[in-house]
Parts: sequence; structure tokens; C-alpha cells
Amino acid sequence: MNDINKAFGLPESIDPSHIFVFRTGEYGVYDYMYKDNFGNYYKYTNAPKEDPNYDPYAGDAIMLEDQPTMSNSPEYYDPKSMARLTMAIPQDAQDVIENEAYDELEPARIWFKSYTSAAGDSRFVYKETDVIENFDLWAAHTLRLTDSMITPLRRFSVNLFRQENIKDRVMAAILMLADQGMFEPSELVKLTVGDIEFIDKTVKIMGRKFVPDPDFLDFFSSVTSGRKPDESLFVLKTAYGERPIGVRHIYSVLKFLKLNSHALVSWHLSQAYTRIMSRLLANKMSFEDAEAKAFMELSGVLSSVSDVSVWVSGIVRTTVEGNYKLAEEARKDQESAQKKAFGGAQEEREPAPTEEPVEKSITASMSDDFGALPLFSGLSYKVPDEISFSSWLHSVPLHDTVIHGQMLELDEAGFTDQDPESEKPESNEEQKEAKSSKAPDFYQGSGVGGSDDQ
Amino acid sequence: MTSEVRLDALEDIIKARKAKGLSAWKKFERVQEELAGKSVSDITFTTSYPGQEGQAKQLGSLSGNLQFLLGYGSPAFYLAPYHWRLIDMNLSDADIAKKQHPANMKYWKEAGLDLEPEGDLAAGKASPSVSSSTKLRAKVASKKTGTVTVRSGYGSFVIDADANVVHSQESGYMYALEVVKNSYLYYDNLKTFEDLEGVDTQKSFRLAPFDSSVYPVLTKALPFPGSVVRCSPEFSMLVTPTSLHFIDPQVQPLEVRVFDRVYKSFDLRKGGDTHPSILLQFLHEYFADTAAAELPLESINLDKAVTISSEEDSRTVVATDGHYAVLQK
Repeated sequence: MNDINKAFGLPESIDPSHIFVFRTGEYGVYDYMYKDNFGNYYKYTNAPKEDPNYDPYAGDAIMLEDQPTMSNSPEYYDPKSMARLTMAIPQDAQDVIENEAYDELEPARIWFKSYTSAAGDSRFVYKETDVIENFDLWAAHTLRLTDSMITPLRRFSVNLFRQENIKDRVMAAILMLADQGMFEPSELVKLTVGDIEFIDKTVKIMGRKFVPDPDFLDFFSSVTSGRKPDESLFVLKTAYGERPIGVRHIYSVLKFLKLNSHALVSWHLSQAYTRIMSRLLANKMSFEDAEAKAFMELSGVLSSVSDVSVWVSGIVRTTVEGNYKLAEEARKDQESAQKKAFGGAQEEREPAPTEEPVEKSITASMSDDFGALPLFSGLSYKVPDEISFSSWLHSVPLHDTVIHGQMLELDEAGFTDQDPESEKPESNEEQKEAKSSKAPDFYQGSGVGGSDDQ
Repeated sequence: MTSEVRLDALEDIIKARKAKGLSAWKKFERVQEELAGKSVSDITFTTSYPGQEGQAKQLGSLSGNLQFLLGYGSPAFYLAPYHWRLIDMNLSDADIAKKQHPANMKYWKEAGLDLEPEGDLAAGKASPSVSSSTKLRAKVASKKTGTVTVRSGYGSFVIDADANVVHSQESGYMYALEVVKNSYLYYDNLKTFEDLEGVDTQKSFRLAPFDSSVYPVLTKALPFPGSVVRCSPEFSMLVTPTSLHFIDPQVQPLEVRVFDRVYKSFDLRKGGDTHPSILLQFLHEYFADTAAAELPLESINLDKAVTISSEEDSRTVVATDGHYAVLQK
């Protein structure tokens, strides 16, 4: 083993300065997180032998290759603190600012550096340890990582689906259903032939409706025809005959693609949430009503009675709500300006708008606007809605810029249309901080999630 | 239920019924049963009725019922089915199931009141217009019994295992418990999470040792050492006193896949390198008939039960009188 490690330039055993901290992963597919003297985390293949987390089947612990180390990627490290950063600051970056008010215990000041990219976008950089150890940051970061891996996942799936071997096609279908169908692998491995229902060109899987393309429809027909309803839908030929595909198998493929199935579901629901909300809010619905309706629609799409709102990213919801409030304020300002401009003459010409009818206590039944989800066997890219969501997601700071309901940080970060001169920080220190915490102006114009028209 | 509240909306109907005797009145009995163990706060809501904004009202009182039905109740009032029976005892379960929360968000906004969770937080539901509000849910989680607050990094988090949600106190965001399970937060508070989920801490981290009392029982369940057992056309097993070897029809070593792992053989010794749950699953599948897999429960001495578990697979192996049984949990 040591010779192999040496050949690959890997540590021949656990680095003596690395201490095992915790294990992450599911279904036997784990990463073992070790920490060095500078507080940086490294992934290993196993825990130390004396640790209860040690897996006797995983062999000796070796450090995973695809992670930046001080020797192979010094650009990921801060030269002063030797802390590993969430990203390497590009060489053409401008206005690189170190956060002098950095405080690892303060949510608003936890960002470590910021810079302006060549394209003019501002970006925040964090210490990777802070992201791992602070759950809000970690959740936002995981969503971003998931977003980055959607296209590789789709390319991988499409390529597998084109293979002749049924095993490859089955795995591809599972990955596509996990992605486009928003299923968890643990749900997919339990599917039986009886769980799939054909209604013309629509397929219903565990109550969830899909419109598959012809190739996908052929595939579903091929895996169901001539089989009993209680047989597993996805099976592989093994030494014992046909056996259901194991959940570990799927998780290991997802891990190879650097994806987490829960984050994948969360990404899809967050993206769908923004799309539905932008449609409903455009219809002048109140935020609360629109959100309630959006969650009802999402529940309908997933044919789930459980609460889907917990799967929608908090940062996405906060941003949509903030955007709604700003738009409402702007609308009111515009209305009052118009009134002033007309000097009350308009009021004489037009009758005062009648009061909106009192909302009935019985709300409308659950809508099915979302309809059936499409399933494409050849989808190897992001659709326009997803691209819009993706570009927003990568520009939003990981840390919370709205603390305890205050909009101060949001304003400083350029979210609002307010005159920047109108709310100047008072002290020099605050001015400095405000300058250094200037966030990208990502939210204006494009909106989150794009429109329904695309 | 304390007697501080006057449920005057029910007085007339109770008076009228007294003549026949309240004890034989099933509907009233039902209301009494449903209110047992409830507190006044469970039926108290804040009203947004003009002129009385912010006042506390009780369901079952005349003004309370009226204002609630007109939509002046708080949308954050957690409405449970029994609340409807305080308004009208004649409502059936089917009628109640069709009812929606009557609170009108417009009135609430006009009153300018803050949303504070109230009513029956354990059994009720808030109005759909606010039920998904992260702030409200975080407040509910911190008030509910059975939730636990933990700290990790700069933040504190309220875990509501019943609702499968973790609330971040700093950001107000909420997360599905599944999402949290892969994170540092989970491992930083492992014991708390597993206590809440009713999971044994040992289960996900430590594999139970292959108990010495189980090994001889397992070997007894296997065919005589030296025998070759044909399992399928593809492979057979060679049984030795301490191991099982897989061989193909030409009696060459063969690799088989069990639980996504590839094996050439199973080491049956105590401390052998086979995961106990894998071995037991395998034996149970191929030797179930010979190993008397299903024993009557009453004949089992549970003192001899040995739990062998892993994260995904938890089963109890019961050893008794030279037989073993695998009881799937």
C-alpha cells in the first residue's frame, strides 16, 4: 500500500499532524475528515484504526487525491494564516480586500476576503473551515457545489443512457430520475414494476407524473414488460441472478460526481420555487399567499403530503422576499409620485379604486399549474431557467447579509435602489466595513430564477 | 382545563340539554375528552377585530367564536380539530376535515400586529398563509416541548425531530433533517441528534462485536465442514470450520457480490473480517431452511439476544439451543 501511495505522490500514511474529527456521508459511502495544525480539513478514505469509525473493509486511511494541499495548490491558502480558502483568488482579480473585521463567531463578518473579477462581479471568499463548521454557510455552499455539478451529472447520465449494456442504461435512468424527477435514490431502489403506471404518453411513478421523451418511454416499457408488479423495477444481473440495484451503488456513483442526493433535491426545489414565485408575484399576489400557493404546487409536483418548504434554501426564500418588499416599496413610491404629479385631478376623473373583496376563508383548491415534469434522456445541459438561477446562486454571498430581520447589510450590499449617499455609515470604522463588505449587485435586473416564458 | 375561561357560547346548548342529562350526551362527552389535558392557552387566540386589536379571546366564548369565524383570529393560531367542536359541537370529523383556517391575513396586516405562534402548537396547524414562514416556525420550534437547542460554530439550532426540521436561530432558515445528517453540525451534536431520533449512538458508529456466543450457533447452522454446497448454477460454497469459500462450477475461486461488496470468502472466526450483518444476511438467505430461521417468539430467551447492527441494517440475532433466528426490526 505504501508503495502505491508513494507512486501517486500521496502521503504514505496518515499525516502525523492530521487529527481525525468526523465522518460524513451515507450508506457506507463516507469521507473521513481530518484537521491539520492550521485548522484546515482534509478528506481521507478511512478513520484511524483505533477509532470506532474505522471501517475494516476500507483499508488503510489515505488522503483523497482531488483536494488542494499546500504543496499542489498553494493558491488556495492564505499565506499569512495558512488557512485553506473556499476558492483560489484568480490572478486577474482586482480590488482584493481582506476583511479586517473578520470574526469567525460573527455571521455578518465571517467572510475572509473579497475581490472583483475580470468581469466586474464581486465575490466573497471564506475560510473553508468556517464553511464546514458553520451549518448555514455549509448548506449554502453545498447548494452551490451541487449547481456546479448538475451539467457533469447530466452529461454522464446521457452518455450512460446511450450505452448498449442494460446495467449502464438502468444506472443512467436512476440518475436522471434523481435529477429531473427529484427522487431520492433510496426511493428509487424500492420502486417495483407496479409503481409505474402508463397513461398514454405520460408515466406516473409513485404518484408523480412525467412526460418522458420517446427513448425514455421505450426504456420504461422495456423494464416493465412481461414482469410481475411486485418485482423490483431496477435490477442488475448478478451471480445470484437478477437482483435489485443497491442504494450504496447509486450513492457511490453520486459521490464520484461530487453530488449529494439531498442537496440535489434541495437545488431543484429551490429553483422551482423561484420560478413559481416570480410568476405568482408578477400577478400581484401578496408574498404570503404566493408562498403558500408555491409550496402547494411543489407538494403537488412531488405528490407529497410532507412539508416541502424545508427543502427550499433559506437564502433563496430570503432573497425572494427581500426582492418582493423592494418592488412593493418602489411601486408605492411610483404611485404616490404619480398622484402628486396629477395633483389630485386624476382622482376626480377616475373613481377611487374599490376595496379589494374580502378574502374568503376557504382558499382555492390545490392547483396543478406545474403539471407533469418532462423527462429527457438527452438532457446534457441546464435549461434557461436553471442557468438564470445558477448565475444568481454563484454570485450570492454565502453568509447572511440580513441579520435578525435588519436590511442594513442588504442595503450596503447594493441590493436596493436607494441613493448610496442617503445611508452613509457614521463612523470611519463603519465606513471601512461597509466598503469592505460591498457585495455584488447580483439581484437587480435579472431576478432570481428567470421567468416562466422561457 | 382550568375553569378561568367562560365558554359562554356553549351555555345555552348545555342548559337545554341538562334536562335530558349531560352524562348520556355523547357529543359533550367527546368535547370533554378532547379538552382533557389542554390548557387555556391552547384555545386562546389574539384578535385583530377593530377596536380590540391584540386582545386575547377564547374559542368557546361568544365573542371569541364570532371574531374567529369572521377571520379576525391570528393566522399564527395553531388550529386543531377539537377547536372546531368548541365552536359547534355538532360538527362531525368529516365536516372538520373540510374546514380551512378562517384567519384573514388582510385583517391581521391592517391591525399591524406581530405574528406569534399560539393555540395548540402540538396538535394544530397555522393558517396556510403563514404556516411555511421560517420565522414563525422557528418560534414554534423553540416553544414546543420535545425540541432541543444545540450550538455549532457561530450558530445555535433548534432541532424539531417530530417535524423533521432543524431551525437556525441566527439566520432563521430551516433545513430538512436529512440535509443536516451529512454535516459537521450533526457530528458536533451526535448524541443529541441520535437521542432525538431514537437511534442508538453506537449503531451508526460502532459495529457491535461478533459475539462469541453467536459464532458456534452459526457454525452449527452451516453444513458439515468439508462439504460443498451448490447455491446456484453460477457458484457453490466450500464450507470449512472457520470459513466459507466461493467457487465456480470448475471449482476455481470466485468472487461474489454481497451488498455491493465483492467477496472471495467469509471468515467465520470471532473477530474475522466479515461484517456480521453481511454474514448473517447471507446465511439467512442461503441456509434459512436448515437453520430454523423462524422460531416461535415465546421460546426465545431474550437474555441471549445479540443485536448486530449497522447504520442501514438493524436486526436482532437470537441464539438458543443450537438454533438461531434473525428478527428483522
